[in-house]
Amino acid sequence: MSASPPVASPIVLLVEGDIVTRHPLAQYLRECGFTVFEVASGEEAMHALQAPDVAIEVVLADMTTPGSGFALRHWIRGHDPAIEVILAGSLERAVERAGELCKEGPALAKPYHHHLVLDHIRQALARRERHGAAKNQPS
Amino acid sequence: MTRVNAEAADQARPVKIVIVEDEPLIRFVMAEALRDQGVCVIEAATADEAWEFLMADSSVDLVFTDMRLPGRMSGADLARRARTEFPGIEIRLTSAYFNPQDWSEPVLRKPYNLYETAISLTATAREAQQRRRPA
Repeated sequence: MSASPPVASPIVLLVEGDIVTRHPLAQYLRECGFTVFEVASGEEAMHALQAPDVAIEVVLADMTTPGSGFALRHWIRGHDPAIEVILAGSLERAVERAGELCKEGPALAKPYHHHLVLDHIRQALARRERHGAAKNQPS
Repeated sequence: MTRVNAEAADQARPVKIVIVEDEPLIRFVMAEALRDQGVCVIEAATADEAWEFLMADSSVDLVFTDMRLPGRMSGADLARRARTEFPGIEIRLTSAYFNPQDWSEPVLRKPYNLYETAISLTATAREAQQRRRPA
């Protein structure tokens, strides 16, 4: 593979529209030994999957992200049926599927339990909500 | 935790850089170049998305953003908001084409050298991290 960037570990494409969820999930998968490409929409995912030098093996997609879900899975099956597509309908399910991927992942030492990722994401979502709510209060 | 231990833990924390770029392949490659430097990279596709992240985690050391982005905010809008709300965060902008009226500071012209840019951004982020460390 003449990949750019040059990487040896399996590549996971993470499709998740919420950056506060996407970043910790991607970090977790990286610590499990995967190379992770992050995209924020189905459209971006298709763009990445069409890049000739990027050999993506698994797509982990949040179903509520725009352009993701069944439509993306259908498109990927037509584009390259060898790519494994994992759809997750909720935050809990996405983290659980990431945990399953991690178990099968290339790293021998697994970093931490995936429930910790879920706790971290929930805390970050709450912080954003508090911060956003404080911003919207009349001064 | 003793002062020495706290400093050691802080020193061990990798610098955190948010890269804001709507072209995914440019973003992947730049993010990987920064990860090669030991940076914790957060990838954002729009300025709005980057702003969402900053509200959830303000321990970011540097934001590296494209000037022209889809969505409600441009890179310059994000830079101005971040300067006001999070003055400890360094901001660097890049663009292939931009109006100098949008941003008065130097803007990195695209295409840029990946390796040199990754080294330079990492060094700037480290300086920002050092400045934020309590005396």
